[in-house]
Amino acid sequence: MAVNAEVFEKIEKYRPKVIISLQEVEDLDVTCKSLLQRYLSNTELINSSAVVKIQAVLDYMYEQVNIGNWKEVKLFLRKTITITSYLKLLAHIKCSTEFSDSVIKESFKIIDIGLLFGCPLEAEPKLLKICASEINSKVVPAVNSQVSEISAIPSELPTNAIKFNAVPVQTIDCPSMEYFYKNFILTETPVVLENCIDHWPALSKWTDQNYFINLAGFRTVSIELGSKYTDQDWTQKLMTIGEFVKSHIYQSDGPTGYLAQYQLFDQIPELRDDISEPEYCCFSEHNEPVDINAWYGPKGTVSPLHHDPKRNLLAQVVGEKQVFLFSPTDSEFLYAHEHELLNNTAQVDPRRPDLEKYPKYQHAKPHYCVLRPGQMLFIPPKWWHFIESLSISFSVSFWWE
Amino acid sequence: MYYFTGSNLFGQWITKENIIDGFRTFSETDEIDCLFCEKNAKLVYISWSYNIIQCNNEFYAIGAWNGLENQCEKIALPDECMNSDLSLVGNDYRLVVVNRNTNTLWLINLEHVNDVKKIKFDTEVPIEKEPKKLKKVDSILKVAACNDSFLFLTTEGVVYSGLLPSYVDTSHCLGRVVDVHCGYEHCILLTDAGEVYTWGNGRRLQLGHGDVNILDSPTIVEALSGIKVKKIAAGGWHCLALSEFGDLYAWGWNDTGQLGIIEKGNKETLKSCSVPTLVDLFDDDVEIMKNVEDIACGSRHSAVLLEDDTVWTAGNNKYGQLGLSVDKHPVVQGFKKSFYCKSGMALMCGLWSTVVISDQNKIAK
Repeated sequence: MAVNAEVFEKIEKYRPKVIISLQEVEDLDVTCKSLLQRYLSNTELINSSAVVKIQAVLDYMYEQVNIGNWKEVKLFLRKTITITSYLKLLAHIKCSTEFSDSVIKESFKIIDIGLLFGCPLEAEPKLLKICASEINSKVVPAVNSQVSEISAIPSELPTNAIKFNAVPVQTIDCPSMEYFYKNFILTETPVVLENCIDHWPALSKWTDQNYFINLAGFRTVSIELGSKYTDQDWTQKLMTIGEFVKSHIYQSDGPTGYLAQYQLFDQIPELRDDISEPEYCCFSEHNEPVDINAWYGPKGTVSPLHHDPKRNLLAQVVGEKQVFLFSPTDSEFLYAHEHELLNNTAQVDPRRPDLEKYPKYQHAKPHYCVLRPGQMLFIPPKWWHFIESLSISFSVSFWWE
Repeated sequence: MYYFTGSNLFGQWITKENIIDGFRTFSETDEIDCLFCEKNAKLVYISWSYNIIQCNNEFYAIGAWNGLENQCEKIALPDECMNSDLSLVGNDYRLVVVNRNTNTLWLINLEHVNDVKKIKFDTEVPIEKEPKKLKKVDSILKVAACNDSFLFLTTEGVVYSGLLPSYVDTSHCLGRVVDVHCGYEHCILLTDAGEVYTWGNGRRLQLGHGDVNILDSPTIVEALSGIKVKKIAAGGWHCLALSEFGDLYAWGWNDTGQLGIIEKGNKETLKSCSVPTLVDLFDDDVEIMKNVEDIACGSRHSAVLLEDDTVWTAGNNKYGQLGLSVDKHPVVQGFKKSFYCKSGMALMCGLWSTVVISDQNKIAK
């Protein structure tokens, strides 16, 4: 059997479950609902005209989910995106005659856009991820030799704490659970932990940027463009990991690109195998899963001074980052933005504080460290932090409550 | 006559192609096309998946209807509506029939077309808010609808919003309200003093106040004060305004170039505008000095009609809504001439379509 027919068969197996999931989008308008119903119940009906209509439902849902706050978007609209993406994937593979690179690339794009804008169906929560694995299992990995010479670029000597009039953040060697809990979690004190993630395969694998291209070069992610999110021309763009590594990690003529606060490990489970959740995260008051995010970018990415509500362990895998930390009691010296959308972000740049504009900053007490590969920083909840990469950098953050 | 372009995914323009990417019209010899060509037929509303045609006192839905595609169905209206002055708008979930004489609304559920809800529209204005003496009987002049947003304007210039219409305080507005439009999540009104007010969600800069704030009540668009505006239009997340001198202003989201603005020397980047920005039209880099006569917006595209009867479009063209080849121009940044319509009178846009009307009698009131 031809490979694409084989893949079609594997993916098509989930069709009955997807048909059941139409009940979850009962609130959808009757036109879109009957369109999805029609093509899901009979894939024989899928022709070039159907492909245009399926795409139109997706484009229309994209407009719908752009209305209002993302967090308040109705679930049935996002579930419709998941269902329609699945249908589009079926149609795409059905209509292609071979399993070429361009067919694979387009398949992943359909899946990733579905993952980005859609949400899990109760009938089959992992639907699109399973489809991705099915396709992945048929892909013969191409070895990328074009840009192979690079591993992490050694950075210039990091600036030290004295220059910024800062207190160095304490560093300790892999503390016991109890010690960490008593002395840092309970007291809400930042600390750099050494030798806690030495066993991660990521530490060696991820220094070769081609690893990402080979493993997931075709996968689409959302990249932040612009030096920092508070800038006027800051924007986000969808691109493949391959495009991101080639045009933003290796070289950067245009704006700085940053794969920031991104649930990459959810999307590409193969990468999840390269890391493990630190045991310290088990000190949890809720039973919610730990929120794991990837932060991957070139030298010069900046997260402006801000605070988050959760506890954070920031594991540095590749390259170096400099970090400024301020206690929540310093808030009045840091000049938070007044706008409701940015009120967890401060206006002061701790690297070059403008004391004329922000005179109270002189009373603030910065804590400072340079994070190196293999180190992990504990940022207590509500602590202000400013982070800048000093080289190509890959960090993984673990948020929990 | 009507000249149309854009999405025909559900047969709403009767022709066979899913996508019409060049303005065309109906053939008067074709029997099915006749409905549009009937002497008294008017296109009253363009929804995402169906069009509404009014012919005498009857309304027809063309396109997706009752879960089927390529339909042309007479809409069964409540008996009370017979021989009344009706207006009809809708979205993907319901039709809203407005009786202008009795100020009554009927909401027809599109999933079960027999499920009709009647709403009596109370047009009284709270006295403390409206010191001016009102006519006792005030009738609905216009209904604007986009997705879940609905706006009603009465002949006295009073504005109501929502499907259960609630009074919108416009007592602070300079002049009498003469027009209202709404996008996916924002509203815009025009007064006879030529002032423009916006309210609703401003997260994508669609309110034109230079920020991303959400506003509960109509707020004057400062950048346009001093300019007498005669027409307004609202897209999904953007707005157009036309001045008495034929100048065009645009603001809001510009993700597909819907503002029609080309930044000199920087043709690649699409920049959204947080305040009304004067739009210049260029034909091969030569500035066009003709006045703009009419404006209209789709969800992510814009169309303007010039005094020389040319139609110019900008923004998303994925479904042919600009009247240009989809393959050659998937998006258009900076207005591009796409049609010449002898004696073009007015424009109308659906979310993903554009219509030019060349006959005064074909313009719905």
